Amino acid sequence: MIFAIKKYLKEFNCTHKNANKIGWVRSICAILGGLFISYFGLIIILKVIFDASKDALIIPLLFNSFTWPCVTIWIFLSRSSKVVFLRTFIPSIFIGMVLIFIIG
Amino acid sequence: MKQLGERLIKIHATAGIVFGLLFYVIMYFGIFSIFQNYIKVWEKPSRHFASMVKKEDIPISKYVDKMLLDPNIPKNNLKIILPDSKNDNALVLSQMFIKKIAINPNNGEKLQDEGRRIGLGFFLHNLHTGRPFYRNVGFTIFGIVAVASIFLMLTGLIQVITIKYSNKGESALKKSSKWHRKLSVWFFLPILIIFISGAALNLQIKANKKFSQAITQILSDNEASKWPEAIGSTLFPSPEVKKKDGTFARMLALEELYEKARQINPNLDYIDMRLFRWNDSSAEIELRGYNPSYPFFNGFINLPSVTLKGIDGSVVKIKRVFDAHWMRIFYEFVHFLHFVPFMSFVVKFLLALVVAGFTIGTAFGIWLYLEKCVKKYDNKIPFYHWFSRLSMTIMLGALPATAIAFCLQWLFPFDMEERILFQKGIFFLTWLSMGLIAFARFDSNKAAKNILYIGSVLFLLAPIIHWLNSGYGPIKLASLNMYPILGVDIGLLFLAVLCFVGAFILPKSRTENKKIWKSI
Repeated sequence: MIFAIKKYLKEFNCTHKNANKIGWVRSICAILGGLFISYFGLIIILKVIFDASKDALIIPLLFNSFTWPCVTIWIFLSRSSKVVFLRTFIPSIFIGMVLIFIIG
Repeated sequence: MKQLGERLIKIHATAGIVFGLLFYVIMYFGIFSIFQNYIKVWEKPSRHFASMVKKEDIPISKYVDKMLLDPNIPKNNLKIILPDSKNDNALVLSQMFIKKIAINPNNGEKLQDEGRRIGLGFFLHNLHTGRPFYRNVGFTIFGIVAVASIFLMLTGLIQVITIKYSNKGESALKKSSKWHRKLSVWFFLPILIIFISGAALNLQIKANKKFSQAITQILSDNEASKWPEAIGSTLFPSPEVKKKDGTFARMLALEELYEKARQINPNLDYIDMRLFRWNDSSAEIELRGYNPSYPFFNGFINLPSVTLKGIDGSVVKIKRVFDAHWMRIFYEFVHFLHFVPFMSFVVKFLLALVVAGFTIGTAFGIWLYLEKCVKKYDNKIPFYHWFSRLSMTIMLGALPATAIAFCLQWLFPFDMEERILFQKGIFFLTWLSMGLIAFARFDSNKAAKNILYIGSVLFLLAPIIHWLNSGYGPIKLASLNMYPILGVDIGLLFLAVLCFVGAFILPKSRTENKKIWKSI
């Protein structure tokens, strides 16, 4: 049991030798995680750092669709599965916590 | 690093194959959408007249004053669109509660405006935006394609920067790779801006107002739930509401007011005039125009204007280009290159060339993928791939389909019922039947030749049918200076020649293709 977990973790951590396969988990993480991070990240930067009023809504309204592919590429091009999960979930959890703080 | 490069190529290829064909459709109909104003004049028999008078010399009040005394026509917020703006050669009265009234500027006759009932230009424009496919569903799909194309452009740019490519080699694979790279890099920047604005329009601004609900609620502290409630009034401000005095007064003639506005701000190219509370002593007129020396800052939604009083023509307000709210100028800046509104033919033609170049670059990209598929079999067995036939249907089949839509515009009688429905149906049926040719013919060269020959014949027929059925031949059009209409005919003939040359150059079998690849 422990051996299996260790083996799995090792695979999880190492760089993929076969880069010709993209993988479903990687694509779902990249596309949906990229959407979440870009959609809420931009608004949190505006709200928390710049303390913007509602006039600033025009910036995410026009550029959300540009930041989405940028974050998606950043997640797609990670070396191993571990990096994919780190790049997806650390910003997402951080943004989620800030969102709960703002709304609540 | 090598692995990252491989993964980059794989992702680029996969996304390109999934979204490439829809991307091509958007770009192809975008070219027709650039010239939609010319097509909208070409398609209407009521607009087939020669404009003898200049915009400044039209006796507007002589034509309009009688109508303004009619109680059925509202006097508030009435818009008079001057001819030649947006390339419509009629003087148009419009208000949200009445049907459009079009007037011949030469003699003041009322024209029978066909409206959107026969809208070919509108239909082709909608195929570009995605409205015909169940409105919001189509908008969303096309918006996602726009996002995916931004993704493709960025991954492609990273590839071009990080990986060293050589332009040598004479095989079809190397050549298509070379031209895919070259064309995409040349036209990268304008197309990127156009796609950012397109994705924003389709995903958030126009169609799915729910998609922007969360960010609106956060930024406005739960006051508004949709973006128009939060910033709609600053982005698209409505005119001030003032009370009527209630006393009838004689107004100055409209052309005098127009003359005065031109003296006050001579830099503007005036587009329309809006009348507020007309025939009342508190009447005002707002003349809006476009300042050609500041492109990217005015022309689409931010229009500088001069507001005058209706009784004596004294100045109420002068709005210059940079007087508008910063948000409006920003919005204008992002969307300007996508719309090129009120620009001259040359600018629109250049933009069309850029879009056409990028479209051909996309086609080379799909060709590159298919050549990689062929390489596996390496002439051992004849190659037949469903994706190659599907892309041939969509890419080449779009040409005869648009051609037949142009033919039917002047072939059907104009009082026919459900005319646009038949036109659309035959348009899509032609497109599908091109699929029949592409899938049924085993030799792909012959299938492509057949489709292109059909396209060239139909494109040749379209202007001829127009010349015969409208009664305006090419010589008559040229002698009467009706260049927007003649221009569409010439464009259709140009497409016919392009299709014919393409079909003629294409060799009869696949083995002879190498000669063409060597030459480019």
